[in-house]
Amino acid sequence: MSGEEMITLKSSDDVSFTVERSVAERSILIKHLLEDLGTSTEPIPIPNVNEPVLNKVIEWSIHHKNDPPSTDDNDSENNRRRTTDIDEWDQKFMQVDQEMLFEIILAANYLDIKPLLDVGCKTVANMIKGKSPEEIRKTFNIQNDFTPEEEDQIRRENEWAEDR
Amino acid sequence: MEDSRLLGCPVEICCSVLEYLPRKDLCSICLVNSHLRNLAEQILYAKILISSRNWQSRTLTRLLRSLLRRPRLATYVRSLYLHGSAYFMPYDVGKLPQIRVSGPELEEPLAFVASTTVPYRKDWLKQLRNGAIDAFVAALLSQPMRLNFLRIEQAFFLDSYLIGMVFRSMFCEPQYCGLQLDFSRLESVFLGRSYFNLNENNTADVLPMFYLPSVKKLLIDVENPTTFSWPTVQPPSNSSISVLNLLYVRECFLGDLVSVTKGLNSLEWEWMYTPELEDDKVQTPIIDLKRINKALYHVRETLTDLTIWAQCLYGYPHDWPMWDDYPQLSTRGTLRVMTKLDKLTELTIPITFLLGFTPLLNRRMKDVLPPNIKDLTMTDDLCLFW
Repeated sequence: MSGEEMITLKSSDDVSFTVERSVAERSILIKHLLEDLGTSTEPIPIPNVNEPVLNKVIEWSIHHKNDPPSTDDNDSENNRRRTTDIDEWDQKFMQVDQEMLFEIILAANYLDIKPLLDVGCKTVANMIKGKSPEEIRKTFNIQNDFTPEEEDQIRRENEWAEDR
Repeated sequence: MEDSRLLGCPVEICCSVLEYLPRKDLCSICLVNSHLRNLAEQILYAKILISSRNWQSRTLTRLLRSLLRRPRLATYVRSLYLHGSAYFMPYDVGKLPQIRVSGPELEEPLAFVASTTVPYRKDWLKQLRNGAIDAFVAALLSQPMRLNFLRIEQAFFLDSYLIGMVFRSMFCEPQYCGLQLDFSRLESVFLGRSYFNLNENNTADVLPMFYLPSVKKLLIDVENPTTFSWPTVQPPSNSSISVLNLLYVRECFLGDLVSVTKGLNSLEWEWMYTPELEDDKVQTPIIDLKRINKALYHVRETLTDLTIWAQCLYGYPHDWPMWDDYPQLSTRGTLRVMTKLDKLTELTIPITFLLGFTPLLNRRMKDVLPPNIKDLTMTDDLCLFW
């Protein structure tokens, strides 16, 4: 066993998780918190994330604890537009129901874990790609609030973007 | 019915998802629901790329129609890239291609131009009716886009008269003209030019770019005018341009352009000579190093990176001259300014510009190079004529 410092995180429903500091520090929020606190044995409360979601987030953080830091912002900005490729492990990790998928995205956003947030957003983008508006509505449980005339107008408006 | 988790997400997360989508899927999203449409439109219109390959599908006119109907969409546009070389366009040499637009489709662009107060309005209306590409590009550029990037390649810039006129109205003439481009954040501009139209002069059409208040990077092809004059009585004074890339313009006008920049760090320029265009004054086979010297003197205190290319152009392989007919290129003066470019650390230059066509054996490289040079590339451009 490594001699790494252990950190305890407490979910919104009072379940404690003890993890290596490097795992906890995948979250920039927790990393900054730990820097401010110095060494502390007190559990860190994560008020916005419940036990099943925190469990998933920790599972991801353990798998990715040794990832190199992401490249600078401009590069990642370009990559974001280019690809929605997701590595195999992350794809499997994201095979959860939609409720859990959005909970993971919200938790990653709150905890400031950008790579996890990106994987979540890519997963949702892949659920949209290639679908018709009606299929997208069905997938995400969205009501159509357009009249048929409005739909026609929108179609005409964006005609330029459909050209190949 | 349960609430949608996607719609319940914070706006920034929804936008992060939508940013991964290609144009086609963003168009589908626009039709899903009004909240998502609002977000997707901002991404769909932020970066616009129109390719000349879509000539027949009228992408340009369709986009213009949408921006005229909903000016708010134009305010989302940050980057406009009109892409395409002229080589594969379906038109006869000597005759410019046209955009075929039916009567009802023309009504909105015509109404827009008629609502402006620019003095060349009648010309503009006439050219729209004629299907002239520059009339449509000029109308597009007059919409309230908040550009930070603009690139117009040769297929869209074959005739630049009206485009140049709207640039002049917007950038150089302070009075209200009804043209609405927000160019206050325009940082990067590329204006291309076709080889076909070397005889037509685009100088007046591209000079307004030097008046842009935020432009940092300017890559333009400037042709050689008979006489050089700025569109305003006072030449511009531009302290924002740090990278300038010039093509076509000969050394006698280089100083005019370079001298209005006050903080230029990087200059790339191509010296070019075409026997077919030879005249007594400008297009001569003499490389006037004295003039180049003078031009570089203006930027001696700021220039860190200088690249000069040189080429002697022939139209088509069957026109290539026999060995004896190659033009007699020569140099005048020397590039004495080189040793005074204290800040210059990167230099790419034809060796003939440093040593002439008949190298003097007693000239040492050290005496013709900037003192603090770190990266030096000497090219053999024009060495055929050595």
